[in-house]
Amino acid sequence: MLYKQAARLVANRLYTNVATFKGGLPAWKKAGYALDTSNTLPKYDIPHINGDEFKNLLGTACFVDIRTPKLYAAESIKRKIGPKADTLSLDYKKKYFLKIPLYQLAHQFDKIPKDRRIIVFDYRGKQSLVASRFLVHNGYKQVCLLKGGISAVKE
Amino acid sequence: MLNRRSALYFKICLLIGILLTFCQNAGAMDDYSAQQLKRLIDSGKPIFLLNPLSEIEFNEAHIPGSVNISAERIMKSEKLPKDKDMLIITYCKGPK
Repeated sequence: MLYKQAARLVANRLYTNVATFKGGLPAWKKAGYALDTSNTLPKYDIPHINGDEFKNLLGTACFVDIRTPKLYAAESIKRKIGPKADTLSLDYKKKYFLKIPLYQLAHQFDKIPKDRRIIVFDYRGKQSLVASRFLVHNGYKQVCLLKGGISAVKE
Repeated sequence: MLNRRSALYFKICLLIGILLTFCQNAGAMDDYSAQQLKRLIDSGKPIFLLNPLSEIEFNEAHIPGSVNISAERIMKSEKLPKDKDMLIITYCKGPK
């Protein structure tokens, strides 16, 4: 419920007249009002991988974690992917395991190598599609996403 | 003696109840329906419609006239209005 969090943050900045539109984009659309979609990305077909494939690709693909830092803290990726993570070299972690939150992706995607398969993942798989489409649109050819997000990867 | 103690308990409970109600109301914010928001926008009254999603998601679809400040940047953003009393309405992809 980002609208609520945003309203609280704005109120914390001492704005006195803060309100919410809980229904958000779905309610606006349902009411028949126009949305600005002038910068919408094209609908690319993005392949999905499951949790087992995700684990098997460790060491060969480049992983892009688009979760917010709060979610990294809440749930360690190491715990989710199990002991295999410990066998990865530090160099691998630095180079091919990137943490780029979705809100920074538009400005930091150039850190992602173009010569590797890219696996995009988030917490529940809700935001990785738009992030993957963004990368494909910006010239990345081998992009796929983790279906269901990291929460779907069994320990 | 017992009656006086009961009366005291009752007063304390009443006071706690009043305080809790006040605290809950202090944190409550108005919520607009789509129709109310549309009417407000069409009325031309100055409002600041804030979309706290990421830039990429904002570009996918947003309400015309809204401003994108991702939630992570709200505390430091200079895009917020100078007038601290201006009506600011936040929205995103809905309650789910």
